[in-house]
Amino acid sequence: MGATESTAYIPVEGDFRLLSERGEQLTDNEFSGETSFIREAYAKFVSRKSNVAALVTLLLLLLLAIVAPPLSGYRFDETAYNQSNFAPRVPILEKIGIFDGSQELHKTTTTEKSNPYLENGITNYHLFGTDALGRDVFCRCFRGLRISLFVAVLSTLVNVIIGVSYGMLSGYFGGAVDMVMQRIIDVLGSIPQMVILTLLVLVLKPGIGTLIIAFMITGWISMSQIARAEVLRIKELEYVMASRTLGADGFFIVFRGIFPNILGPVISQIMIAIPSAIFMESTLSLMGLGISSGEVSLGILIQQGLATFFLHPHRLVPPIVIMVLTMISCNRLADGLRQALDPQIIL
Amino acid sequence: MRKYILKRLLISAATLFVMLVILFLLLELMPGSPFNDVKLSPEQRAVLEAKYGLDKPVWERLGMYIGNALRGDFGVSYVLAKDVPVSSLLSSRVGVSIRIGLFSLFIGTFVGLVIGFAAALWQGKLPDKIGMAISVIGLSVPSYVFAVLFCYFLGFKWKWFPLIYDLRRPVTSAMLPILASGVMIVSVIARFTRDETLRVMQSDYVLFARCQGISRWNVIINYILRNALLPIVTVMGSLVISLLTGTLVIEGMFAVPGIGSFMGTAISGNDYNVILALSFVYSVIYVVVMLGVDLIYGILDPRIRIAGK
Amino acid sequence: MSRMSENKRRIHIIGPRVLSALAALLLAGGTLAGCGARIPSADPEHEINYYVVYQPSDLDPQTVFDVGNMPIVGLFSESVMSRNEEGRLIYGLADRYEKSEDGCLYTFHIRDDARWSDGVPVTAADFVFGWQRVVNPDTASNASFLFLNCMKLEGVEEIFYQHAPLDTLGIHAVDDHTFTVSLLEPCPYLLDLLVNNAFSPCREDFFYAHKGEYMKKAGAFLSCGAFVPDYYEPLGMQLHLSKNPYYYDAEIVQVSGVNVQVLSDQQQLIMSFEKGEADIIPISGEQQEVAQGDPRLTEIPGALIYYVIPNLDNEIFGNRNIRRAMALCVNRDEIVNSLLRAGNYPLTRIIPEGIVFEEDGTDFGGDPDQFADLCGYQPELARSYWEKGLQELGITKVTAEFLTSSESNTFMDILKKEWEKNLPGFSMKYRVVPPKAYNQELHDGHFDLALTGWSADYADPTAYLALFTPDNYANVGHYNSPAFNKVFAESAAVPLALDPQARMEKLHEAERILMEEMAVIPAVTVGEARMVSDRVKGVYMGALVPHVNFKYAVKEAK
Repeated sequence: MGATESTAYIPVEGDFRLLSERGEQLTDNEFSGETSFIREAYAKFVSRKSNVAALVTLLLLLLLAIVAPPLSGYRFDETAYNQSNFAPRVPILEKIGIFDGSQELHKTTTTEKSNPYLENGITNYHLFGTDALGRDVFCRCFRGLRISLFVAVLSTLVNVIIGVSYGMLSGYFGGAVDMVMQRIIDVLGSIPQMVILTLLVLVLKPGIGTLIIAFMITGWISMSQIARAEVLRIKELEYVMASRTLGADGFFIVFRGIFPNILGPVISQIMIAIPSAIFMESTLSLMGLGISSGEVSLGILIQQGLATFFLHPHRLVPPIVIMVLTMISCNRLADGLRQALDPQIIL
Repeated sequence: MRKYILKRLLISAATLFVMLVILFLLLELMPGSPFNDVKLSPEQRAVLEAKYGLDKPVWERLGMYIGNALRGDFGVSYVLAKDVPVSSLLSSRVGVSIRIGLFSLFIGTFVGLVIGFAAALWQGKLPDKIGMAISVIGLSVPSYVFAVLFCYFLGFKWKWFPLIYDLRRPVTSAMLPILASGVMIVSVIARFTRDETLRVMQSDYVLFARCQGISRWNVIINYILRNALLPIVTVMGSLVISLLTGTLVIEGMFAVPGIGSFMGTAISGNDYNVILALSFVYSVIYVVVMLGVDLIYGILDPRIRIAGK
Repeated sequence: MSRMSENKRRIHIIGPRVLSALAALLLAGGTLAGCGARIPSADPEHEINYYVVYQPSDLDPQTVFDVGNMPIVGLFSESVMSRNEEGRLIYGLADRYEKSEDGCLYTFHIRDDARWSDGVPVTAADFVFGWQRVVNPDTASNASFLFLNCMKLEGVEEIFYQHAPLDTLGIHAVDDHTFTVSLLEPCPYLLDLLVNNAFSPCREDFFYAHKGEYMKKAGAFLSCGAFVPDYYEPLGMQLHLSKNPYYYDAEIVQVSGVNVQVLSDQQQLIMSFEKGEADIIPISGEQQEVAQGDPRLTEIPGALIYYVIPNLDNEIFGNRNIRRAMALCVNRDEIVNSLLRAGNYPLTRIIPEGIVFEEDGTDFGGDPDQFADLCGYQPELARSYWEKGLQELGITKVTAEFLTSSESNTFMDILKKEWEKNLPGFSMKYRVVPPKAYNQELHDGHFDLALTGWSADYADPTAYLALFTPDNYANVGHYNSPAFNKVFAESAAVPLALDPQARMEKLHEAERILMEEMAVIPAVTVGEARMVSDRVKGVYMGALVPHVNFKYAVKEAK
């Protein structure tokens, strides 16, 4: 006790050292504004391996869709009647006895083992085999993926543009305009997408353009609802009200405030819309309403493959695997982005 | 609440009316005539068209059609089932589709709930991993692929069930289509149940209940399960819609005499009245399901009721 | 604490409601499961499970006129004439007939034991009513084609186009068992034509008793054939027929019933057959590879011919040498092989093999190579004709527009490939129109070339050759040749119309003219293939009506 009664200690400069002098920097990540939204989202996204795997898979598929058809050495519609229904044959793997072009055909009375490449003296390699007309399945698959993705992505982007502008206008003007615009959505939203798709494909000429238009008519509604809700929220914020009172252009402020806020929901909506468009396309193809005019899509390939599934599985398995991979990675990505871009989601 | 229901009903009725007009006009744009046999001369075709009033102007026919439709008369089929009233064609088929749809909905929901709960309770462990793998596959693989696999293994190889729908064996032969369309439902429900259960498990009142010393299983059953079940009603609507889309392909594969397989034949046959009525039936089912889900949810969750006012 | 209790209360309110809602839905599902009609099936072991691709759209014998429905209608309707298990013409409900000197008046005598499936005898009045129904414009029957275009029956045109009274039709009942048919011109193939279901009888009292649902639901079927439908729903996937106990030949009918199943999925068809659920399945296109070498694969020759129509109004395709050149480089073998279809054959003439038989039993189209010099695959010869044609026209390049309703068509691809390869300066592109607009485009003449099919409705050369008369509606290429017209008219006129052998010779001449002028470019005949189970024997399946006949069939026990 005695010691404390002695003179009070006077701190000297050496007692305190700023952390920065040691080259350290401590930030409370919870409250500081240092990390940007994007960086934070990125960190959250990367923290799950499945997200990264999905992204890599999708990019790989995209790359293949672009480069595989020209590099395959075949044209997707190039027929070779002497190479009909050949099994897959892959350059290196054939040495170890798999994918060397031999196949076993289970017919109703017999099981035939053969290697059509050797029997017909064909030296070509067909990585995924050929179809009934001797067209290269590898080339067709990625050509099909390209077309399917093209249809899905293009229609989704158009949907975003239509949906977001519709929702923003409806939300911004409010009142009677909003009322009318929302009733239109109520009516349009009550028509099953499948009905619109079938009827449109029926009325217009079957083709890629028709498919895109059909997806466009039905797809934008959910986008517009996201945008509208956000506009309604922002419109009521104090700073917007204040700047409007001061005579600033409210329209501009509202729109500038909106984009970062709807980015997350819209992006994950896009990642949901793309696989569902691919899915719809394949269903329409199975009904015989898909794209035609000699073009190929995943749906068309699956439809053609299903017809001879048990005799020539090599025609059905690749397009299904490609489609499933695309769907899984898109869905995973949609989830990952939703969680990364929305701070409220509990992981 | 009554005002809300009234408003919803009004919108639904308006929707269906607009639907009918749009459908009618769209079909007007469809090229060709239902009587399009190579062997018929223009005079013979004119006689046939006159019999069904196809020679009258569009607006007159639209008026007649809507007038009749409001009385439940959707005209007769021209091509697919000559002169049979469309309403009688539909009535037998709608039942089959609904029956198979409901069964896959129930079985799928039940299995999905079990998987979803198990995944949430053992989060991050084996049940979770297996459950979510099933869910991802079920959501990403189209149902017709399952249909093919089930046919081959369950129907052909192991001979568990008849391959196609057969009225002589209405129960066993309905199993394959039910299973094929049920996979998607299992996946969606499992996924949703897991997320909802986890959300409820992390809520304050569950924590509080546990703090009070209520046993783990008591909390799970009385607090978590019941509160997590509620939002599942909301996915039911979209599930029914996906089922409807799925039937278009599945029914054809299994020769189920439902509305899905009917649509395909009607389209290829250019049978105006049937396409119109079928699209209309699809829209009615859609609108009714959406309305039903909203109302059920409103009844089950008081907060919606207040917001609806 | 207040929050807790609120939550708890809510939970208890919700719980029972959720459960009761679920229970109500389950109940609804359960009741629906119970309903649905049952198919009567007395003896499933001796029933034939007959699978078809096309859904029956109409089962009224008086209106059915398409290859999808005719095989099924043929199971329960019969006319005065019929076919045996080998496809030969035999008596049906009639047991004899007389023909007048001028070939214009026929008298048919109905057999005494001909009865309907309810036991009532078939009378001449039933035939009169049935025929009148077909030509009545209010019936709007597609089968009116047979009455209007295939023969000259008294009064038909006045009734169909001008609503003349129905009793002016040239069929009259003499007594209960006898009726007469009066024609304006002799019809040498009348008996064959009469096998068609449209000529079968229809009982007036039964028809009016079931007005609006006649032949549209179980109980509203009246059969005069070997079987009678006892389960049917319009557009259903299943149709069940039982043996008709009152059928005049009932003792030779061995199978107890037929279960008709509609199934379009090819994989499912094969699996159903292999598993034993199906006894007879159609097998088409690529699927046939799976059954190669299987003795159960049965080929059914077709009456359907496919040919390329050149638009003769077009200056280029109006040139005979150009058409000849094109016909000479159609690789028909490659087409048939790449389509992988059993039942398909190359066609180098107009009348296919195995459809039309002359009086002495020789096959009219029996020599498939008769016109091989004009139509066989000879690219070298084709080129010389081509050059001659181009010279006559004074051009060096030909661009043709091929009208089609589907694009990915192996058939057309092979045509295109061969033509572009062998004919210098020739290029072809497809113009794709929706299937339903196709016929209209064809009739309006908006094409250079088109691929079309035509099927015979009776076993006579005129079933095909009439296509090329100038007033035929289906003559869309506008072929009009004085030489052909003269020969064709002579064959139908009196001295020849009554002399079968001389008439056939005239018709051979007519076919030769068509081939020499290359009115159309024949390509293939399209038949069918089915898989028939080892357990089923004695089924007639043929190109002509009734297409399928189970009257003589036997199904062995497992």
